[in-house]
Amino acid sequence: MRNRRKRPIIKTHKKLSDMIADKKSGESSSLQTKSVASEVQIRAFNDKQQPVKVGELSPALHINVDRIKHRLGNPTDLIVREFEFELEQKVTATLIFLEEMNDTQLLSEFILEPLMNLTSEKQSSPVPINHALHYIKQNALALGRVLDVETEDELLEALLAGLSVLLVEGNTKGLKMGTNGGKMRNIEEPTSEVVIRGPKEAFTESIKTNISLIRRKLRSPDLRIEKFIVGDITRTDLAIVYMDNIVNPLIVKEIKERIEQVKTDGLLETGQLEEFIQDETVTVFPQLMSTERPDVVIGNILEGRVGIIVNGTPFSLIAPTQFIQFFQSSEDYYMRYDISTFLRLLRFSVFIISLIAPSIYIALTTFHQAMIPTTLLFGIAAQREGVPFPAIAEALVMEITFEILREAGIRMPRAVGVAVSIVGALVLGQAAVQAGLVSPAMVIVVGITAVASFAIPSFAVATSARLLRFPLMIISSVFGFYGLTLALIVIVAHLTSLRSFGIPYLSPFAPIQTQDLKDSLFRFPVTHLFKRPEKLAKKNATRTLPYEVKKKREEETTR
Amino acid sequence: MKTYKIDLQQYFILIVLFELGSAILVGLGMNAGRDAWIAILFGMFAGMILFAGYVFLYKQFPEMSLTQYIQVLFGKYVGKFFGFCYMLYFLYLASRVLRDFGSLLLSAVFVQTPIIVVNTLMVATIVYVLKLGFEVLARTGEIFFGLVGLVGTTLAVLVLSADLMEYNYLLPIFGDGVIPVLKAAFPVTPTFPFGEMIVFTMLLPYLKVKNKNNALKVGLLGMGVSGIVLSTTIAMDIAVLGGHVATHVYFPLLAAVAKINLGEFIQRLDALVVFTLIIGGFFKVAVFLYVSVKAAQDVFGVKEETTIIGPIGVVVILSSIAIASNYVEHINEGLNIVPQFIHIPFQVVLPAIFIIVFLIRKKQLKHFASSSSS
Repeated sequence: MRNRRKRPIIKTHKKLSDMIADKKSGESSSLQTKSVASEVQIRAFNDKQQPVKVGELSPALHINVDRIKHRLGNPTDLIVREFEFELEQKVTATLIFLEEMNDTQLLSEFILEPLMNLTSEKQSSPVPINHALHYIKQNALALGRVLDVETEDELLEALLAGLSVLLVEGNTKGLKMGTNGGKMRNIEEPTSEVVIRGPKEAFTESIKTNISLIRRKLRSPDLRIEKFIVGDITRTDLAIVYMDNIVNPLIVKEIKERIEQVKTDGLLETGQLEEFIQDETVTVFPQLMSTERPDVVIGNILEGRVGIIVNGTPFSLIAPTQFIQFFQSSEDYYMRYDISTFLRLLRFSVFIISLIAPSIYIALTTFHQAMIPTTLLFGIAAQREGVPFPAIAEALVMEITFEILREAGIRMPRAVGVAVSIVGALVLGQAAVQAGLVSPAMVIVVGITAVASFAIPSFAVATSARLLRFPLMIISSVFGFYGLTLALIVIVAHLTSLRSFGIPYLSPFAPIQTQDLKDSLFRFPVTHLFKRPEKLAKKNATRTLPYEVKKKREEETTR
Repeated sequence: MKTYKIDLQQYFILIVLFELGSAILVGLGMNAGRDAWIAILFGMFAGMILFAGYVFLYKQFPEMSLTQYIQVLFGKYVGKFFGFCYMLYFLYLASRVLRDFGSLLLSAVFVQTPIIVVNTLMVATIVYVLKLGFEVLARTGEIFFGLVGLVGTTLAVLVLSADLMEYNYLLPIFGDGVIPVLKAAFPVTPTFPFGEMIVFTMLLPYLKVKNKNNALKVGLLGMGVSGIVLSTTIAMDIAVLGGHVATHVYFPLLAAVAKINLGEFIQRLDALVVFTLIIGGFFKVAVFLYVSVKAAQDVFGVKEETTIIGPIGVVVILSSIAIASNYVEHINEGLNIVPQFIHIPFQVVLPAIFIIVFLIRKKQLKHFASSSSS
């Protein structure tokens, strides 16, 4: 078929090039009509041949250009640069790109300049015009990423993804070239997961940067990066990263299937993806962990988990996730094990405090006064004497006030923030006590709860504690510790019923996995963490050689 | 839906939580006076023999629960009748334990609250957890086992360090001879709580197939651990309170722990005990309730167990109030009537009959048994 087409196309080209010359002088407003006319003409030329199929690229340059302009609505940032270069004869070519998404310096230095300097003298044999594209791809384009484009849709997609497209007269293919540019945020320090010791770089909004951040630290040939496109309109790039020789293939398969099932118009943040792919919707607990730190993603990949990176957000997801991960910080592995264990236990207690501290206060003062040491009891009773409300009302008012202040503090511009904190200190502090609205003990309880909820490293799980606090307060005001205990049983039962991609959410505690317990609430010394998590990494479970083995080997070699 | 199998660890934990659940609360074997702790050990050994019998039946029908294999042994109608009786028995036990806990809470904390409110809250929690599946109950057990263990150890250390124990209260051992102890031990102590292991005839089929041969060993281990804990606790109660007081208090453990007072700061820890007991009671009632649901499912041919958990829960709430008009009557029934007329037939006589019938019909059933175990 190609052979048959050869000659007439060259003829077409000659005549068309005249018409293009005409068009250049013409006004852009008359473009539409002219393009229709030229389309008719090319039909006439092709009549004996096969008609150009819809969606395929036409050999006539301006038809393609017109179609693209038409489909994109002729936007102002679409640059169509026509030029000529010399092979056997003069060849017309067009470089199309969206201005702000490309690096113009790259374009001029590595595409336009070498092409325009092409001369026929350099060529050993004459190049027919329909091989021009192949020829310049091999000889003239000094760029790494150059690929063929065959259909109009492909061309549009490349343009919108920030690539530039080169079309050559008389060729039914084009070339897309990786000249992406434009402004991007630099790699900065993480803002939501600050550490004292550890890498200080965070992901950015660009998926390319993010993948490079991972690649640079994980130079293994077994690292797999698979790309998906999610969102019918936004066409968001999404990549999953995992270690092929560690991960449980069933989990990867499950993740891929769930991502492929996502049908939505747009995907702007991993939070949206999380809701699409999580196991259980009716729960307050996060089932996927999000992080903006490359070292966290890599650490989890090494454990046999899968990282999910979405273009346009610095937060990437980690799946499957266990509840205990929300109490671990990347720093735990960079610091000594003793302090890490202490901090993990502290964080967990802090979670418990932020969950039930107000409920315990309410239960104690309402039902179990006998449990309070006598002197303290007198103190609290004296404080509460002037307060007209029951403990639950007091607690609810204070907690809700705190929530309001917190929300205001986050959304306020920095200049107003000072005012908010001053007013907040008045409302939650001495003034409220003096007005006889709340007791001082309640202020302390709310204060501790608030500080505790900020000490949890993961914002997501702090949110669950924040939401559960209110029902717990209400039930303990009605049933005291009995209600609180039953409510805790319900929460624990709910947690054990959750699964994240088939892995029990509360493992390694329920079901108990003895090996994995070493790196849960405690962190054993690294030399004792031999194994990867049992359920995640079935293939390649050994992580660190036991110290004794190493020592023995060293002794043997020194002998 | 895939049926969930529990592993040995969960099986062990369920046994311990179940055994300790309510037994640790009431004065067990107190008829034996200061030798109550020995009576418990006697009871434990007798209970172990019973349990060996239950496991024997399980090994013959490894994939069937009690109410299923009695239908094989006796045919459909007689089998269903026995199944129905067992269902009532389990329901009664669930109600009894629930009543125990309701009364405890009323006397300890909620003096003015109606018992139905307290019981309803407990059953609502159990129904929620059971609707999530037996698996969730087993795993929740794992979490709370650690917690209860921690609290228990703390309390034990506190009692020891508070120097409350007067070991002379335990002496002389066998002061009145062995006979009164044996009299106290039989028949009450083997039946409660050790004979209540009959419920595990309904749960053993959930054990993973590869763990089948360890069912007896781990079961006995669980019973042994809980027996020793119970015996030590009672001994501690007696050493703290004295044999006379300990036998006459409704809840000796609460009374003993309430005496802890370290530096005027750590005191009144009985609320902490109540917290632990709520967890134990929760698991005990939950297991009884679940077993009644399974029995009802087999007897009435219900497809999905989740559909009848709620209704049976309501039955348990109502019967927990109806079984006795006050706590004294409830305890009296529990000590004097229930063991002889209810526990012994269901825990000893009927299983013995089942084993005999099985041995007689062994050849007839051989074909069936081999096909079910494969």
